[in-house]
Amino acid sequence: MRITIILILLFLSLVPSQAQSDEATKKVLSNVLIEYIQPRYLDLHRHAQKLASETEHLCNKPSASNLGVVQASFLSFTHSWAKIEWFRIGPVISKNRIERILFYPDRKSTGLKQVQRALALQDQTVTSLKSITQKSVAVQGLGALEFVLFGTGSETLQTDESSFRCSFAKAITQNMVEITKTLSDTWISESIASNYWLNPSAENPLFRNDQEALNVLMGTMIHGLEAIRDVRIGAFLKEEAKFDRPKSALMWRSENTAAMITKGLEGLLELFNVSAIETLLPEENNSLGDSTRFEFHQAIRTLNSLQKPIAGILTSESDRKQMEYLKLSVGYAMSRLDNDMSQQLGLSAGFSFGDGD
Amino acid sequence: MNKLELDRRAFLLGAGASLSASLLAKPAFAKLRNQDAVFASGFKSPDGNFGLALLSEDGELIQSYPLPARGHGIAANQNSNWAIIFARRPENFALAFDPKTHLKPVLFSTPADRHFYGHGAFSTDGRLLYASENDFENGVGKIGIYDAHSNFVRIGEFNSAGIGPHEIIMMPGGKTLCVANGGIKTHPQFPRTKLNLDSMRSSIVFIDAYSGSVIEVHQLPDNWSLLSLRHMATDQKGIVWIGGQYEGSAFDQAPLVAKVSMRTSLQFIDLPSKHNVCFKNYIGSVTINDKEGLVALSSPKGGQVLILDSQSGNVVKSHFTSGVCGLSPSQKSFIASSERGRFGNRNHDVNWDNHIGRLQ
Repeated sequence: MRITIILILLFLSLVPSQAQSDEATKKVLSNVLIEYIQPRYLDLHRHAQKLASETEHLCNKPSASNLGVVQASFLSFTHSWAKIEWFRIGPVISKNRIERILFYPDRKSTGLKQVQRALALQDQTVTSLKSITQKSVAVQGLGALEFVLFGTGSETLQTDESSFRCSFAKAITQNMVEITKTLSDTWISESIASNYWLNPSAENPLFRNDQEALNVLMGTMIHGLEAIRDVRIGAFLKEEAKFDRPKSALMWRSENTAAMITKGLEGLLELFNVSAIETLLPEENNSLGDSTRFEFHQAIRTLNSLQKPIAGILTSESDRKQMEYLKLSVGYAMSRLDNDMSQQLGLSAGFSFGDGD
Repeated sequence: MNKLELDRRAFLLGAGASLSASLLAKPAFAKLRNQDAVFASGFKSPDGNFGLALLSEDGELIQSYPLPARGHGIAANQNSNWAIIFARRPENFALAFDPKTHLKPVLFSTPADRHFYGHGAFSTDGRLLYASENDFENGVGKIGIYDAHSNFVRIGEFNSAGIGPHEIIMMPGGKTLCVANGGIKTHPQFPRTKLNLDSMRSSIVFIDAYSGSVIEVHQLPDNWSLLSLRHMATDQKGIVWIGGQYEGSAFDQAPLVAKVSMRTSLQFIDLPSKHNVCFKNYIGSVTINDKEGLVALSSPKGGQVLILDSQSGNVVKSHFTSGVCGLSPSQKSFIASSERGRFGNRNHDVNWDNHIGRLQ
């Protein structure tokens, strides 16, 4: 009787989602794994190793030039991270790895206060890999390291041999090495994660079928663009100039804000290009790939003229207008993906996308 | 008052003018009176506008109202003429509408330093409306209290005893509220960003509806701290069924379904893996058909509706359709809707929001 009653749910298909993958979609997923996920995480890990090694060298032989090397290496590592940070699937989501690499936004500067307190009190628990991983995520990653390398008092790194500050930096860089090694190792070929990625099936917790896989891929790009627009740009660019907040910008101390936005967009464009997801479009709509690329390029071109300190951008009327245009450009790229391409591919229209409601 | 607030108020005034022009037409009013059941749900139309729809049990559209932005949960009560649709976070409006008479809809809002989280519940007598809200500057959850007899003026608030209160229900007997604190901190400055995943902690809290005092707090074990308990429904015995959303890796199979009652600890329901995996770590709606002894849980991510026996917790049936989320008990079992336009056994050219409210 109960079963009969339940059959009143007429609209619900009684056939479970198809658990299969066609060759074209397989190729898209394989492209993403081999040409984006694996090389990007490997690049990140190598940058982390370089940064750790150079930081150790600085701690042993402090000098202005060695500090400059570490600062440059820090920027390179952050740029490598920016190119993969919006790919939020798998181990990077576990154990708060994302927050441990970069805790942002930090509305009330909780992380900054913790870092300043650790420096002021010479808290020894932030100077070893073992103990720093037990601390707040805000002192474990790039936000903390930026302050240590570029913030007030960072000039002491040029002169103080075995300084507390340098040991703090060293512990963070070692933490980055450990985390990025896990990320890189998890996605190597034939790993469980890679097999999940490549083989949608009924038992696969990642995707049961092609449509779910493409939804995740498209969602990665759309949500990445949305976060760049709303969180990274929106943090400092307000509706009116008088409400702008340059010190809420990511990595303003290292004058790295615009570069991080650029690298984030370049990373998402790279993901879009290597995936070749446009090959799945009906032939009459295959120009959608080019129009999407055009919007990405517009945004990146706009950023090329804005590679300068964020405070200066916000006080220059013309630069600020460019930044406003950038926000619109990112929105146009989102629209190409969300409204046009997703529709043509028969994917979710972004209405729910499962973001916590 | 800053510009943002001025803009918001101007916007609400404009929306109110539009709403007053959309009072129920007489044919629709008659149609509503002839229904066994009437359902309400928020939607997005193809032109990008948002609204609220009233539908019959077979999914026929009876009436719609415009909304200023996306609506989410519905609150209704047998002793009140009013039903409410709440804005989805981080918006701060709610619309009170009266499906039975020609009362003019009332659009009301939170104070400027709060926003709705999308759900609420009436007191048993229909006089008070409780709403889950965010005190976003302090990062704490609040239960806002509104007077349904006075144009939904806000008359007070109390703490939700957690962060990110989402669904809120009145327990049988009408003395106790049950609140699902999702545990996730958000701020309108970063509308959809989760700010505290490193330290989030979800809870189910029983609160005295009169005094606001906390009666019981049920927390998750440490190993599932990334599980956000968000949606729930209670049966007549006061057993609350809960659906969670997991913020950890998709590779993990989190326990997403639990039940709890006052003076009884929270208990996970051990679902067969083949069903649990189809939730894709995300349950978007929970409802109960008490008469049939059934619980239904849905996942728009996995396209699954899973129906459990409320006594044993055993799976009775699973169904699949793309983007399914809205659920409500119907006369004979459940009715469901999808973000792709399916409502009951009909298709509509809209995206339905995640929830259905049953109004009669």
